[in-house]
Amino acid sequence: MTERLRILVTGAAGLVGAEVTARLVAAGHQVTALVHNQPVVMRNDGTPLEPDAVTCLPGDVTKPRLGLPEAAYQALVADGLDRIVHCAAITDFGLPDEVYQAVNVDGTAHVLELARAGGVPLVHVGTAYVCGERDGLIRETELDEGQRLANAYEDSKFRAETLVHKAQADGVRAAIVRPSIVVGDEHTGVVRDYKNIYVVLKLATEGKVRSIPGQYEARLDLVPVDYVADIITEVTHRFEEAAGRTFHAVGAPLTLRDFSDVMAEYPPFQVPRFVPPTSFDAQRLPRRERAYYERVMTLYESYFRRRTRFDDSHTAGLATRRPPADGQDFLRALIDHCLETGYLGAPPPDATEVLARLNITGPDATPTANGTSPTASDVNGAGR
Amino acid sequence: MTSSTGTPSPNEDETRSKVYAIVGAMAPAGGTTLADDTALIADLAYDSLRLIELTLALEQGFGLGELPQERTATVTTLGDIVRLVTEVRRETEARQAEAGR
Repeated sequence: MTERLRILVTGAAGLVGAEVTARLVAAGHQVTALVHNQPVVMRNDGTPLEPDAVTCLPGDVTKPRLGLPEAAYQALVADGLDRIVHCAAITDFGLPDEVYQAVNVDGTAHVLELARAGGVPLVHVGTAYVCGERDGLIRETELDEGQRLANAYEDSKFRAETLVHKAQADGVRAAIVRPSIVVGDEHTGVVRDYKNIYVVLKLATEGKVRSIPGQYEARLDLVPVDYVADIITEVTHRFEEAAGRTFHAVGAPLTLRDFSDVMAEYPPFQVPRFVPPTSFDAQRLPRRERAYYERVMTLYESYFRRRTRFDDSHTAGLATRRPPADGQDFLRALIDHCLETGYLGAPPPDATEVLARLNITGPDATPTANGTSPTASDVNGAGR
Repeated sequence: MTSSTGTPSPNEDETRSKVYAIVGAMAPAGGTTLADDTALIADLAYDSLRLIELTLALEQGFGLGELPQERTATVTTLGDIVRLVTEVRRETEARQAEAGR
């Protein structure tokens, strides 16, 4: 039996934060959940935590004092918190740069101020992708290796982690957990909301993008949300062992070849072709595919070229649970869940079908003239 | 603004009813009475991918050519779409009038 700790969880309503909060509450700790928009902590499976199991504190990490009234903030500082678990972050791609700065960087700075003021040990949730576009083996001990960061998200998480390191040098005690791409439950595939990689899967399997610049040898690391929450919980419990160290909460790496092979097992799915980036030209795509490519796929493109592999020796040395042994089996579980909920599968009628049903034809919009036909010419080697 | 070429200026009411028909038919969630302040995401359950498909439907249905992302990014309601489509149709017409001069 562990001692009862007083713990503040930021981002407690988020996908990872809620699962961490649920585990800490179940372990008997006294948890204060800092929440922004939602006053309810909902587990990944959609069940809410009992309202009296946790103290919900409406706040905003982008503001000084976490957006709390002076008295409430001073109470947190004076009350002798035992841990802060900092899960609050923006993980969506494609948002304005200032959003990442405000939430991911300034938010971390404000949390560090509380940790410093109250002398509270901090568990910071980062991302394995602070490695940016480095190739090969990424170690938990590495942060700034002069890497190029691919987008505002990675850049903000890199700067946030750098702030944590600086604070550590000034005496703040901290441990860092770096998840990779957080997806559904290891066994059931259940996920509360479909973001990032799920959107890519949807576009690809519905045939909305048929060719993607990338390399079949590139690797993506998907990690189950329940595993990530277990690791964060373990680091929180065993902070004395974890302090000053970084832990990769990563899963089984899947090559794009592995993705293609699994997608091909599902008869309703289209399987995109990965083409060498040098021979890919977005301007040659039909309008429809180009719209999806430009508005969505470009956000993720850098990940389809990286041959990253994450070393997780620190995590293996601390935690009892290990990540999924077979990445392809795990991917099947994720896809099966998406098919059950209808997220993947038969897409709703597209623009052309809807317009035909409404008897609308644009003044000069013949489908083939706009290149909207799904059987449009073989571009970028996407044809079979 | 008047047209100098004799083609009728795009009528906002006609644009509105066609926008309503397209947005309603493409919407993931039905059952809402459509009005200019109906929100695409909150009321009609559009997500980012369905909004892209809606953009394609508007381009195709009104023969607009490509709607740039900068102009669709600020659209949140049906009224925003009516305004955007009306603007783009006027611009197209002005360009055609210019070219035909």
